[in-house]
Amino acid sequence: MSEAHPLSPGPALSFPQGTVSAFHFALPMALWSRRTLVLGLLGGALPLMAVVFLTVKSIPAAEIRTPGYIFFSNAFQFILYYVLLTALAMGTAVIAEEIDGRTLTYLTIRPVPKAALLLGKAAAAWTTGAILVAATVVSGYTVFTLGDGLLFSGGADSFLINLPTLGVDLLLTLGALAVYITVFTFIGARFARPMLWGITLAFGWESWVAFVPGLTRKLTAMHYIQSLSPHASGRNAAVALLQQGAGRFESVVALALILAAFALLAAWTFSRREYEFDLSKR
Amino acid sequence: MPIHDLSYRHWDGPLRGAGSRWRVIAEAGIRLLLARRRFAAMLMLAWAPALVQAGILYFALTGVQGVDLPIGAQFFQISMAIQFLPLVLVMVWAGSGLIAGDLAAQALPLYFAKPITRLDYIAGKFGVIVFFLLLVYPAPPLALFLLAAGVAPDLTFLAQNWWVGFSILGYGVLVAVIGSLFILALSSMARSARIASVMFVGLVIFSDMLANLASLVTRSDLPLAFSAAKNMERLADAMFGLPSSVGIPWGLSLGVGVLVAVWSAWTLARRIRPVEIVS
Amino acid sequence: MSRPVEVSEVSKWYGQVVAVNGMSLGLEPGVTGLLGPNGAGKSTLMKMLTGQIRPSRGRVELLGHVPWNDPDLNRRVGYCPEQDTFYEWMTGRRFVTALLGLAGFERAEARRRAEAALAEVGMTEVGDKKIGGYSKGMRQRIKLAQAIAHDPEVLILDEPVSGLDPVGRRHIIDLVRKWGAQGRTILVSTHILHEVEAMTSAVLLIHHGRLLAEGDVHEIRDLIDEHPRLITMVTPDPRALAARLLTEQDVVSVRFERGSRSITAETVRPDEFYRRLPALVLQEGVEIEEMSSPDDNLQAVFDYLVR
Repeated sequence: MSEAHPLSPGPALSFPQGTVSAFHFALPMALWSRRTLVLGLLGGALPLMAVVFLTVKSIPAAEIRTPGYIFFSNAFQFILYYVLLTALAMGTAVIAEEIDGRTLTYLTIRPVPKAALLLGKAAAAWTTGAILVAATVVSGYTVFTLGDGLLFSGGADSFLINLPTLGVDLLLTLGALAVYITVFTFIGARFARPMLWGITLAFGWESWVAFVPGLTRKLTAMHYIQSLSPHASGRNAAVALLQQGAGRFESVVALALILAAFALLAAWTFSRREYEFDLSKR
Repeated sequence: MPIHDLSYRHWDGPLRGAGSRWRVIAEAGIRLLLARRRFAAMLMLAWAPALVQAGILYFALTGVQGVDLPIGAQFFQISMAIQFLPLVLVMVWAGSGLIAGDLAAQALPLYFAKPITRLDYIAGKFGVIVFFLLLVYPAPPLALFLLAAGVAPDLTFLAQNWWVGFSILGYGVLVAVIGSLFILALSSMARSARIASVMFVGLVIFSDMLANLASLVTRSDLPLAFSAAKNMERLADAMFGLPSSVGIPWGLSLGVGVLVAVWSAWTLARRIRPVEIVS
Repeated sequence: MSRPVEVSEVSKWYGQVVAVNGMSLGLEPGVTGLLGPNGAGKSTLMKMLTGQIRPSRGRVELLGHVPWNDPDLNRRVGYCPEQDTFYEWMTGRRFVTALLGLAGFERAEARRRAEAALAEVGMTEVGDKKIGGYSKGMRQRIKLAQAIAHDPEVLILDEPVSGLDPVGRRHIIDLVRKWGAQGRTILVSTHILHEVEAMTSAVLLIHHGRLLAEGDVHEIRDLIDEHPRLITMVTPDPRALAARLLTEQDVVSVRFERGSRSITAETVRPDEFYRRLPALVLQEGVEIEEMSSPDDNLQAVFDYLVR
């Protein structure tokens, strides 16, 4: 090989180039994984629920007159849990999957800064998660409102009128996904059993502490996400009723700070840590 | 003088029966997990709520002034509900990697190179997880029940609540068996304990959310049968003889549990094979 | 001018376990064998050289740079790790190409280099099969392909011939020698002693984390001149030969091999012993049908050093 080509090592990569390179490497793996398929199926439950709703509403004896959009609004809590689960699955996999599979060495021996590697992979995880979440939100919204409108109200008014709210929903859920992915990426890079920590954080701390009156809830991302949500559903209704939500500006700043802090923490941890593949040491 | 042959000698004694080979896998798995200090610490912590309740129970039954708490079926049902978190943690920690780990290490051909059947393998793995689930789920409330029977000033408590012990045991065993089969099935569908954990959490939590949503949409309680948590609650209410807020028949909840167990067993039978075909 | 690889008083410990203990060495361009039993510290040393872990003490330099957290250095270093793990669902071709893409090569260039690397290790025809379906030998070759595909100056190969059949081993040994002849600096670890000898005469012997010996294998052998050497001879009249040999001062013992016509003589001056043999045969009519020295290989050197 080298008789025809004298030693010609590859290009030097800057940090942004390394991040892009890692993103392109990781994206196909994230998109075409079994994990993505399972999450996609779970997300498909929302439009399926919308179909069930339309079916039941079409039965005169059921006497359902509530508009589809109200049910979509009530289902927003489901969407937020879906965001949590997707972030948990995708975020912990960024580093932990490479450690479990003992393939991390192939990545860290490339001329890509470790922090860039982590951020690029996290970006690929977010992209995949964003496709899943957006598909769930948009399909759920469409079937609930457009289906309801065309079948029972004779038009697409509800669908069109509530489109701005859909835009807010998408921004909010995709932003929440980014925040949680950085949190779980840090957990995956730092801890030997990221799933236990992740489940405790996601479905313990974030799901319950966010609704406890007082200052403790300000230590959760869910508190700020709920405060930005245009929907009053489930626990969110209780929060709205007690007027305990944070202001919009405060919420956006807090979420941005959480995202930045955990992204930096994850990158710093990954750059400094030595990863052992001897399972007896974990 | 006769010189004895000190070279290798074949074992000509009796071999353990085929029916007990699963125990080797189970015992090895249990020992391996107990050797992990953090897991052992978590098991001990799982009994902490029971310790607190033991204090409450003692004061209530011995008539300490100011403690007026009826100790009966509801008390023990709540005690079991409190053990739900340790149950989930053990399923995730101990159960999710039981088969996934073997698949990742390509260890199944090693297992089946020995004279064991697939049933031995599955039973052995089942033995590991069900042991720990029984340890953290029915065992603490059962211990509380026995404590109550012991510290009660007379036989009134036992006369009125003798059946509660059987309820604790029956319900606990039912949940442990179905839960064990379920987590093993999920573990057999992944090569990573992490992915099995995500599937488990997703299905358990999402089944509840979807069931609530469907119930809202259809204005019927029937969709609640899709919720793992609601089915557990309904079965618990039935077995402890308590009125239920979940409006589905307990037979339906039991049927769902049996269906989950059957699906899990079918999945395990399909997934556990000595040879892997890479397409 | 400094050597491509410099290790200076390097130690690495994990809690109470010392994996590498005060090691100092340097590698010249060419192939160097790294030899030691399991747990000697070979993989730990290689991980420090490739920047996977940091030394607890001391300094490691590769091409004048500290490898820990120096990604730019990785352009010039290739590493074939010991663990047999891959992205099993990828094809071999895709695996090598994807890693080249990660290293910053343009798509067309990555494909071209991947093809060249696959051809080099003999994996072109099976490059489109999934790695999960590869044999052990194929997996080893793919690992080598990803290590060499970006034309590195320094190659760190941890057990590169592990799992290969004899033909495959020969092929890889030839490749390693060829890469070394091109001026690359190559460090190869293996347990198979005669393969190290086939690849190179420059060896590093390590044991319990310490460097036991370094240099040319024959020089190392010669330095141990207090160690008697064993020489086995097959002869029609073992007793007569034994009696003759025992009259020489350098022969310290003779052993009869039961059930054969061979004897094994132990000599403290092997050069003198060998010089004497032709005279024995020609002038004194001693018949020697076959002669070998079980000592004259790396295993014997190692066994002696770790005793």
